[in-house]
Amino acid sequence: MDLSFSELKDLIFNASMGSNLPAGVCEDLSFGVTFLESRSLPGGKELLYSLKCERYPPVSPQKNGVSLVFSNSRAIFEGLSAIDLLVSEACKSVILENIDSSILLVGLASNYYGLSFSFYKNKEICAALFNDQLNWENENYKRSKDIEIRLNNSELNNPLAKRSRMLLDDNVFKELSNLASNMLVPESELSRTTGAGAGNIDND
Amino acid sequence: MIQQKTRISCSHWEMDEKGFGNAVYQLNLFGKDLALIAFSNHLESSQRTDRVIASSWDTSFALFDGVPSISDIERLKTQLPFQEAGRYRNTELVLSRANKSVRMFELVAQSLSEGEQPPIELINEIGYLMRTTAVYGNGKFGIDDRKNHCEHSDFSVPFQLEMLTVYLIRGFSLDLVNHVAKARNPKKFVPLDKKIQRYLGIGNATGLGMAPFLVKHPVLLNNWFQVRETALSRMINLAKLSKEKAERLIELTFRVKAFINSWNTDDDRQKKRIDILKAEWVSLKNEFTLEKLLKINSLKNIFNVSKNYSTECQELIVSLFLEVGGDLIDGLDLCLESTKSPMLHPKMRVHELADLIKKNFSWALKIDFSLKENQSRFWYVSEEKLEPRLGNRYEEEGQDLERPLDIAKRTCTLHADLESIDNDMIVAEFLIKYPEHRFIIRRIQTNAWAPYSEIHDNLIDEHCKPIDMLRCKLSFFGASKFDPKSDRWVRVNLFQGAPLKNELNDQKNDDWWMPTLEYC
Repeated sequence: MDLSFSELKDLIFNASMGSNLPAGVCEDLSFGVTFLESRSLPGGKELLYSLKCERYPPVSPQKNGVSLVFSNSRAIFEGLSAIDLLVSEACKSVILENIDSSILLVGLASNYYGLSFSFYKNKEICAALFNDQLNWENENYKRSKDIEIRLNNSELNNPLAKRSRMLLDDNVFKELSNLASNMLVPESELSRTTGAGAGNIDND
Repeated sequence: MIQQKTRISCSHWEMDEKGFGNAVYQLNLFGKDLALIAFSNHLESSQRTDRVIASSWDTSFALFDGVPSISDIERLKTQLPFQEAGRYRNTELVLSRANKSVRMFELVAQSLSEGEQPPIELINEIGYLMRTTAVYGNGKFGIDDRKNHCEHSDFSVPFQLEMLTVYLIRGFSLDLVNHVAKARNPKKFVPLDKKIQRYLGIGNATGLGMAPFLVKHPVLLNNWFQVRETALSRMINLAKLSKEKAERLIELTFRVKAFINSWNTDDDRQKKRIDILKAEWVSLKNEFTLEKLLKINSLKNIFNVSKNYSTECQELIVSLFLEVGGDLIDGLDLCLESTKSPMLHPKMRVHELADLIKKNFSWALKIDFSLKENQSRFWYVSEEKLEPRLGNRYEEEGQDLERPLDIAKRTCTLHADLESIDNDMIVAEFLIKYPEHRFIIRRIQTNAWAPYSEIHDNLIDEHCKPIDMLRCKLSFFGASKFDPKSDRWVRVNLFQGAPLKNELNDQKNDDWWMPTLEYC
């Protein structure tokens, strides 16, 4: 499905709202997922996967030296909190164990425009983010379960090309659209008659 | 366009004698080829509604990036008349549709076909031949994203391309009425008088969608008001007005009375406001003498005097001042765009956040949300053509699907939750416990550097009047003749008095503040 940037952004916001996520999280996801898709990374698919993953009971992050460790984490909950804590300089790095979507983390971090993030798997840098540029080193990162994020500049220099149009898998589009439709109030006569412009005669 | 001496030509006109068919207008602006593609179709009266839920219209339009080929026109012929139900490409920049003002269009066409000009009373009463009922830009339904063409600074001003489209539609409506009249009786036909053509604008009917837009774009809203306030500040801080500007101001004031007299509405609230304005202008116009205007701080003095008058009158004065300040304020339009996104500041201490609320959101904290009437409305999107609507929480289904326009209530809830939290906690930690406040915290933090980003009103109050928000947004587009049809629906006129498409070669034609037939 060929979509504009704004269309995808709205679709993700509405799909996230339709999944009962808080509005502020939906905003982060809408920009984050669109950021990924515009770099040809499967943000939409990752979001759907993440929404389906089981959420473990929330546990406070544990301190391990200069790092904060989140065990059994989901990107849209613990991932978002981890990035917030990292940006607030509450720690030098965050470690997300058993993360459901490592890719989504990159998208969520992109909302902090102007900051530099590096993403590591087994101490090896896999991705780096600065402003609008996403450097991508390691394809295996996509399937990583344990991720460390640091707030620093990296020397990676393999920026992913930016697309002006989004090409979303048809099934992903359908599934996201279904979620988005959860936010629509069903038609009713009362609703129609109280809508803007109701009762006006426009043949004048 | 006048600075560029833009030439707009009709490159394709294929209309039958009833005015049904298609047309293409071509222009080059700042080195970019653009085209308006227009389709005009027969519409049954029973189908003619300006509401979002309409499914067919008299006319449909696309602003096209480049020079359209025959296949582009053929493709759009199968999509554009269906508007939201069609699918578009990134060669399309803006979509729109318009319905005829049936009475006006028919009477003008008939008069011209009989060799006569239409009656002035009707021209004054309606002021346009067609009303646009939606103008879609920025990626909607697959058209190109704004960000792809706003890198060119001349197109970076928000809604520039949308307004260009509306302007071109106005030109099309004039060509169409002349065409229909001529086809009816080629021998007797006379073209519509230039003065009347110029006086006719393009109508617009607008509903609730503009209100969520303003809430959804806090930085954009802020920038628009920053620009307005900056422009006004530059004008009223002019210590000494030049004689040229003073004379121009006086010249413009001669138009005010006739313009206000031509402002018609059936809405009681607006009618009263117009009546008050008429009375106030009688006394305020006496401030505009050459002697008074050439005194030190004359504009500031008039501005201060106007504070004792109605809001309608105050806005008239602002508009008048800005009209003569082109050399001082025109460049500000480049600041209208929203280039900085709202961003969360997770390092902020909770007590700092609470201080921001007390300082900047005291208007929200004053509202008692335990009272039913203060939260009786909810904003939602209907399944029916995705129309934004405003429901009654206690009478209608769907409040669990409420859209986040309840800024004041969210602020109060956050404020209450902050009271039980350790003051030294940082926002990042607070959000682990209260992720539902992420949305409002980001807005409150944004408001610290974007002071005009929030509407200081309770948008879910029983007495909330969305019409005021619609007017606010429309006023930035230069809309006039504000004519409310309910508390959530309004008609306005755009580009009334603006130069015609063949008058863009002369700077002197850029004079259409408060147009009246006399001054067109």
